[in-house]
Amino acid sequence: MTTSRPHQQILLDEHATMAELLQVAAHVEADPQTGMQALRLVTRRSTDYTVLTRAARIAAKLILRAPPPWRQHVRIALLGTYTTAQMPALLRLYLAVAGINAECYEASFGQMAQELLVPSADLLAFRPDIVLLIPSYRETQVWQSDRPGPADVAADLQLFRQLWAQARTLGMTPIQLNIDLPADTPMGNLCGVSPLGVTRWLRELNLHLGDAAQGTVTVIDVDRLAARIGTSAWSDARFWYSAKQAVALPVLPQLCSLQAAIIRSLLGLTAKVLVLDLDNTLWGGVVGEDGVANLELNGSARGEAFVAFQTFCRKLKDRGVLLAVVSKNNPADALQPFQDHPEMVLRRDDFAAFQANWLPKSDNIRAIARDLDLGYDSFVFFDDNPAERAEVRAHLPDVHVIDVPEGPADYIAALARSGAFETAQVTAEDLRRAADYQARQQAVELQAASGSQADFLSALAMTASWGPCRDVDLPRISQLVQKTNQFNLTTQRHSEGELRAFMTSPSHDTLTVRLADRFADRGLIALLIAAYQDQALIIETWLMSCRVLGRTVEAAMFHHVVAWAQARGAAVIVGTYRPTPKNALVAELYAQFGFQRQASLPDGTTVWHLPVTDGMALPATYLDTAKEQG
Amino acid sequence: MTIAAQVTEVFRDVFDDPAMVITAETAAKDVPDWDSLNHINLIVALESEFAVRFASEEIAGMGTVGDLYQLLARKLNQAAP
Repeated sequence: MTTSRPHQQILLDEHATMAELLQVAAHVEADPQTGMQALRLVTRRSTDYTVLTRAARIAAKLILRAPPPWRQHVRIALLGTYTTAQMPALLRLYLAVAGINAECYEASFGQMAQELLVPSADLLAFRPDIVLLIPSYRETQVWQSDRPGPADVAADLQLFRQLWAQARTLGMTPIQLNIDLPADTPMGNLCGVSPLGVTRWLRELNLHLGDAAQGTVTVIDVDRLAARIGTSAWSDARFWYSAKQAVALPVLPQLCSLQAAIIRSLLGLTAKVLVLDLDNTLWGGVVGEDGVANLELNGSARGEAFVAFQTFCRKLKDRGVLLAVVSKNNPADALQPFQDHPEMVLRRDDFAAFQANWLPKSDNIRAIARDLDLGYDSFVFFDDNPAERAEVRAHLPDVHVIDVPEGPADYIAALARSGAFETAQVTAEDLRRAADYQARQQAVELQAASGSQADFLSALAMTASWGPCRDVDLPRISQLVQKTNQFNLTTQRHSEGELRAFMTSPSHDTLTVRLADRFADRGLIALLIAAYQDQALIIETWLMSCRVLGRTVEAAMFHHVVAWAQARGAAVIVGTYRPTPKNALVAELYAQFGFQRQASLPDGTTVWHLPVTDGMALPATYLDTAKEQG
Repeated sequence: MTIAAQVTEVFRDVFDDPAMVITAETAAKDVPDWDSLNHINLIVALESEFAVRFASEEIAGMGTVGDLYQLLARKLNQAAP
């Protein structure tokens, strides 16, 4: 089977076969990016175990030969109660196509609890960032009990809590897979509804597991995935008895894909923006030709499907996904349904960006990326027109282009199952983000209206509150640590365990900043960690959300650092800048604050010193720096 | 495509060897990568390719490719290659 079509043509063809795509990936010696793109398309379009296993092998070779420019590295320990031998290769594939280089460690067979609680020397030597806890119902006390009940649920839950606490103590971030449910039980239908049924108690265990993990541990809802696939396909008794495979191999790719999506989100690499077309995507018909009155919105099967899709998109927005419109339309035509059609669910102000013009869609996405200050890998593109999808795919390969199915009835499933917006946790900041980006647009307008930068900053009426890291803020702080790429001096992805250690260490100070202005409460947006050593204050971590760039927050933070240095009697402040592909913005930050460069290391890292004196000149800031948070 | 040709394609995919040649006499010991893990991978790929299901005994008793031909022929109501 040889292919004669040019590679680019295969990559842009939504009907290319998996064999063709694998062929492209296997034969691009000099071009690992193209190979990864082909594999990315395979992972999005196929769930076939044999296809994905082949893709995983090709990915491994590709990575060995010419590693792509990684966005992040992560070390993952898989601790299961059953055979997980096929998981690492698939997991590495799904993460590699998202730009994440994963190293995996597998526990000895069935040693989920023992490896962590004892803990094993191999596990400690591997130094995982993440531990995946992978149970099945078969080892739960609930399943093994003769008369399952609350005591069994509590006992199982207790073990998981213990594992989470131990992982944290060891500086690892736990991810908990919840419990699959048995397909065939003696009580049959009654098993899930009767107080005597084991399925009923396994469900209760999953509910308690979710509640106990809320806000602290990420749970992967295996029960939901298995139900969507079908519990009779989820597990195959033949391979449970012969090889202790609790998950049937044909469905394993879907489990690994979900694990990868959740890990991607924990690392801050999940998509943030959904770019939507209008005609035949949000409504049926072409507004510029058919007129607002004739659009299909409710009133017919297709019309109902479009309204349902709008509702789905609005709910995505409510949980923190930004919506944008990119439509080939006259602006007035594009806006009219939002103003005049009574069945429209989405409103104009649901969108953080609205581009209706006749430019190529890739140009419009570039403009939105610039305005919102986001990379192309933050974008998901949904358009019913295959030609537009090919155009975006060709020019912006990092944008996740959804293969939109024929007919609006299948739109929701296509978007939901893409996994593009899977998130590990929803924080208060996520819920506020949409309002935040809207406020940003208003601030841009205010800036245009204000005379000078100083006038603008004063007009923003910013209020900040300051304080050390607190337990209650850890999920958000952890999210910032994982996600912040641009204003990040050292890009150290501290785990929650490490952050806790800094919080209690007598030789460290931590500082968090919350910011509000006249348009929005921006929440917790910056973090600084300082260490004290030999009369020096060493800035170990300094990062700030890109949403508040140019607000002089960094200057105000620097005031705090100087105050700490003086209070602790430090003679010098030491700063380090470690370059990454994304943080050039702060390469000269220390120079701007009067530091002198002391050293330049071969990897581009620079080290900066500033002597501490009484009458130090401090940079101007427009924040109230006095306020401490309660 | 004949059963033999289809089986060859499956072996080539599973063992990642586009030039792989198998005969009725080929046994697990003749293929370096044919371990217990790949045996399961092979079964999964064959079941998907031919839309059949093998019993545990059939999986365990599959000594040579010839055995596999016989099994598939019986399940598909065709003559063995």
